[in-house]
Amino acid sequence: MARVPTRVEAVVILGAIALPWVLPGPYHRHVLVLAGLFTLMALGFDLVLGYLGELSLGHAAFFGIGAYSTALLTRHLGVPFPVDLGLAALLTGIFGFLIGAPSLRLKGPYFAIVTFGFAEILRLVALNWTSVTRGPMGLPDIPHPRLGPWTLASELDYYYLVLVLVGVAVLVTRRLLDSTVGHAFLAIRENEELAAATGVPTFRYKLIAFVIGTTFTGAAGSVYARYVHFVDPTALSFYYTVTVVSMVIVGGQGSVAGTVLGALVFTLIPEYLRVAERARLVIFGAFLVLAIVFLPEGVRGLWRPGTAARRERVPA
Amino acid sequence: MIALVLQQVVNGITIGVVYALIAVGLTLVFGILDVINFAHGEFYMLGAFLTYSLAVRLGLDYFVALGLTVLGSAAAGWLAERFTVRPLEGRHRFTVVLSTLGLSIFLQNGALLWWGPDPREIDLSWGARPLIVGGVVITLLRLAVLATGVAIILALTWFIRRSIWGMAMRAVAGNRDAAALIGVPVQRVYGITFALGTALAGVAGGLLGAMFTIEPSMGEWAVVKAFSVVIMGGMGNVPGAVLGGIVLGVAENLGAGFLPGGTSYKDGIGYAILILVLLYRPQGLFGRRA
Repeated sequence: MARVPTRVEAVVILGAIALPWVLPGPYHRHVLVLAGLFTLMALGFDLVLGYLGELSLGHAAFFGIGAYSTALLTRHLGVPFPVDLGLAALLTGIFGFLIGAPSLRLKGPYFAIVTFGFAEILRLVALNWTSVTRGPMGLPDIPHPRLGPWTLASELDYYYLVLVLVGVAVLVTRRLLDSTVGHAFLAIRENEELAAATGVPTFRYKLIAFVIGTTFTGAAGSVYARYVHFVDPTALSFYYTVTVVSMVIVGGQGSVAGTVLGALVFTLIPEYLRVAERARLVIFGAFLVLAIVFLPEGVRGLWRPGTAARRERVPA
Repeated sequence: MIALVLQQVVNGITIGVVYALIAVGLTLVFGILDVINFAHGEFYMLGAFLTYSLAVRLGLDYFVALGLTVLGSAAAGWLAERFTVRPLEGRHRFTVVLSTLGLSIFLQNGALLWWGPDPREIDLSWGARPLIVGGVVITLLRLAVLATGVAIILALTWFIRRSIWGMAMRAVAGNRDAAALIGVPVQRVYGITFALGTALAGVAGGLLGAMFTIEPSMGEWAVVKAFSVVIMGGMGNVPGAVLGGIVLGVAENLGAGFLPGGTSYKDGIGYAILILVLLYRPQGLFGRRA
């Protein structure tokens, strides 16, 4: 179902393409690359939280798996660029299946905690399986991607690569939500028992959403490893999960626009807070609490306040 | 060999009692407020620093410092509930997860800013004196930690079973609306429960702080261990959390002592228990299926 983009969407797309030229200089572009990667992660995460109403606290693990996959594939096997990205996404999806299949039998806080547990175990494996991961020393010298005659090396190259991936993820999410699968997602989110009673195989759909979400995240990890040339166990740290959860909840869950907005806000704020140096994360923590307490509908609710319908998006 | 196993078991029980204190605080808050407090570990960390400041910097007696730590941690918890949990009442439960995560980032990095990253120690001159019972060595400090921990758990059990606030807490846990109808001040019960939970975490920090080094990041692993214990015991189940704490303490010490590569994966034992219990017995090892 090819749909002609609306005027607003066209402006957003053109704006995204023009953005690195409006904000010149490598530093701003670097921040934009990070924002794009986080957007990709957040889109995958929001499939589970925003559309299925389950909070996964293990998302950093999938980012890490994507990053380590690309590091190992390029360093040991010399796998060329788009192939390693595809394989990394696929491998992450397989891990997503293996972790999601048992975890999604649980709900609410139990699901949140079990995904957290899986992620921490994988982090410990990355830290301690030194013969493969070199432990805390990490894997250096991950080459820049080469595409025919071009080498993607500058912040600008990476920005457009990430932009393409975000575009693909948005399209996949849209298509999915417009399909029967998407309708099943909404049915599950609004009332899982009812959905199950009317014959929706709820578990299977949850697993589909989870696996697709993890592949997005794995792709983000893969590009991240290329971008920084290096991966170590901190790629699996809980900090990434918290950041992504913040992006989606503060941005406004269950909406692509809210997620993108949240990702921008939560990349820009910690980056620009670097001027505060050691107080940076103290301010960030306080900001997070204040944002949640004072923005009940996320950043997105700021200019469209008070619509009760939107508040009902995720059942309390 | 048997003496060695026994030694690990005794060490495990000592640590396990402290794990139990942390976990009981977490499970109380979950059972009564229906909130997972991700900042729980930071109150453990703050408790350790508070005891350190009072006992080492101000030179107070260790046990006096511990008592003051209980009060300080309770006050901090009361404030935290007031400003990060209560405003989110009636909102989606994930919002509370995120606000307590924000609080955790705030407190941990605040501690880093205030006290710096260097590890601190509470050095008690009497603590290292060993007692030997049947081939098992236990230092006076560990014995004191064990005794204090057990005393607190007994006092808490009395509080929950017999005191008026304990009854109010149980009433709210059972049926919040019915409790409110018969005049239980639900909000105040929430505040008291949260304060009680953080006081338990704080005193646990003061106790383990005398055995290990104190640093701003110490709350991270504490909250994870507390999760495993709470899950093992069944969420919201206080006696389950006490038993779970001791089981985890012993399992970790035996694992580190006897499994190959045990020390590097020692912290993984908690996660493994957590996942296995959640997948196969989500109501907890000691709970009944709801």
